[in-house]
Amino acid sequence: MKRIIATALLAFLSTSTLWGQTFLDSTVNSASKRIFFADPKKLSVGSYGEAHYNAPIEAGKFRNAEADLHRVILFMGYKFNSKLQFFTEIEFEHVKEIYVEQAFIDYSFNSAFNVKAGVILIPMGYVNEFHEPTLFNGVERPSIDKYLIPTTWSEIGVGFHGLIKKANLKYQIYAVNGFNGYNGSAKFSGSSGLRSARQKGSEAALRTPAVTGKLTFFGLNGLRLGVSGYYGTSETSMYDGLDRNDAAAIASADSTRVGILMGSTNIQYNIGDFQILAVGSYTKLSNVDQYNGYTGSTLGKDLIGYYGEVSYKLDLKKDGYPKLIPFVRYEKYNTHYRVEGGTTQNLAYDHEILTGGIGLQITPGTIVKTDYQWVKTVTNPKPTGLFNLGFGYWF
Amino acid sequence: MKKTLKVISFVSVLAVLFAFANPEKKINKLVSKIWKDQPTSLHLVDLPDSLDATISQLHEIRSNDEILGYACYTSAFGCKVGGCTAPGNPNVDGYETFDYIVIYDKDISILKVDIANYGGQYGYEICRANWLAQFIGQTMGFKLEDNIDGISGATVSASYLIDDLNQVGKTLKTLQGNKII
Repeated sequence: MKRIIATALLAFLSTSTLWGQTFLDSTVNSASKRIFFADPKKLSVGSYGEAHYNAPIEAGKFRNAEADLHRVILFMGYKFNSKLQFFTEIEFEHVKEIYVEQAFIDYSFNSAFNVKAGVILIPMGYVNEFHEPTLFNGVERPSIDKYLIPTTWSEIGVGFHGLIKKANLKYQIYAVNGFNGYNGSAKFSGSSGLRSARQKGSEAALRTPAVTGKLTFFGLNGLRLGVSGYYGTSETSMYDGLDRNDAAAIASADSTRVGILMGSTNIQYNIGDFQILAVGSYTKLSNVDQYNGYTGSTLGKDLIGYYGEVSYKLDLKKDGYPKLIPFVRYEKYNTHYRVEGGTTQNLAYDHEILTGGIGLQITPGTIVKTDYQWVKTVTNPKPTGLFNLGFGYWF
Repeated sequence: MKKTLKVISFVSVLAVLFAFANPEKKINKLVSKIWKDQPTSLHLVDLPDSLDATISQLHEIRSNDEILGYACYTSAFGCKVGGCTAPGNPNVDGYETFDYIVIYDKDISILKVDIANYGGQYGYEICRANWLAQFIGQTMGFKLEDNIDGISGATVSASYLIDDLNQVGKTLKTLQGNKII
């Protein structure tokens, strides 16, 4: 509060002639910059969150609707010096569950080379990295960003990122702890793929790190094109304390691990006030027959998902806000796209979702969203409906 | 897997070795590209007190005794590593600064804008050379989505870079009018 008053005061002062001959203009920028440099603020705080109302609509059935404070995130950054900073996001999910979604130190050598270590976001797809409610359309995150790319997906890791300016590329590469696919029972499943096996950096089992990276091209006006990959082998609790000479036990333990190769692309293109967003993700797993055989799970071998979305930003006032953002999105995903011989393909995992909705962005940091979703599967081709209403903020 | 880790550590060591460069070095690199066949030297300008903390460094670019132009190393507000505040928010806690270099000819027309250091997760699209080329040949009066293309995903950084460039251009004109440079 003090700082806001001080800024306002400085902005006022700089418009007057109190400083005698001044070479500065009276923009917020110059005033804020003065304060910033005179007393570099080391601690920064912020928050974002979303409240949702979801009402399923199914012909001939009563369905309960749900009101949920889905998430509130408090973030905090501390700058030790101009190069080194710490950043953390503490998340409260559904009011009562607490997660540390991000907690890392970042050391910047220059634009081209920065080192990051701690609990970091896996740079797959779009929403996992850009998950603040004003940055994506629709109340709920797309299903691809839930079942194929298990958003919010963060793990402990270390790596580096930077900009290759000549090529208009941003790169990121990290070594991270992987999924834990077996912990007394199967964590991977046919319906939600790898999602339940995320370790989120919490007492994570780690024998072999996974590698993940992303290249983002920003060389054409309005276009952002990202390609990312993830490669690793899942962890298992069975290796812990295993005798190195016990071949039978090792073979059993090996049956609880799965090799994971995941690729995703995201394309964002803005033409005037129109935006087109397309995301695709493909996951290829190995050792699935052994895994399903040993654990009784029904994990698919290949998982696929993609969506395309078109939205339009309509300024309701001349200065840009509020904005009305209508959008449509078509999603298709299948966690049983291909299965191993021993697993029966479940066609109920082959989903199609059509979403149409509208967002009212009141200020850059506040948004009210509403949409309607038609969800159908191959086994249930008559779509069921879902009405969503939500509020999101970010400051 | 071990091989991958080895490669990663090797690349990081290399990158660390090449990563340190001071502002003068960066400016010199840009200057030598603009005036390819002339010997150039940088001369730090002693700025009036009222400009402290606004422009980090201002250099005169000379070739022998002739002034070719000016190089300015300064910074503008961008997004923090983890997030971004809406443009115009006077609360400086919401921002992080990034360094940039702007090179002018002797009439204070922009010859080159280069982002020297950008670490934020959002807004890095302002580093695109084509977008930065829009400033060339002018001094100030830049306006986002008017004479400068809007840049989706980087509105905050773009707004403040433009604001800062307008500021620096104006400041340099005033300094020149007052015969300080």
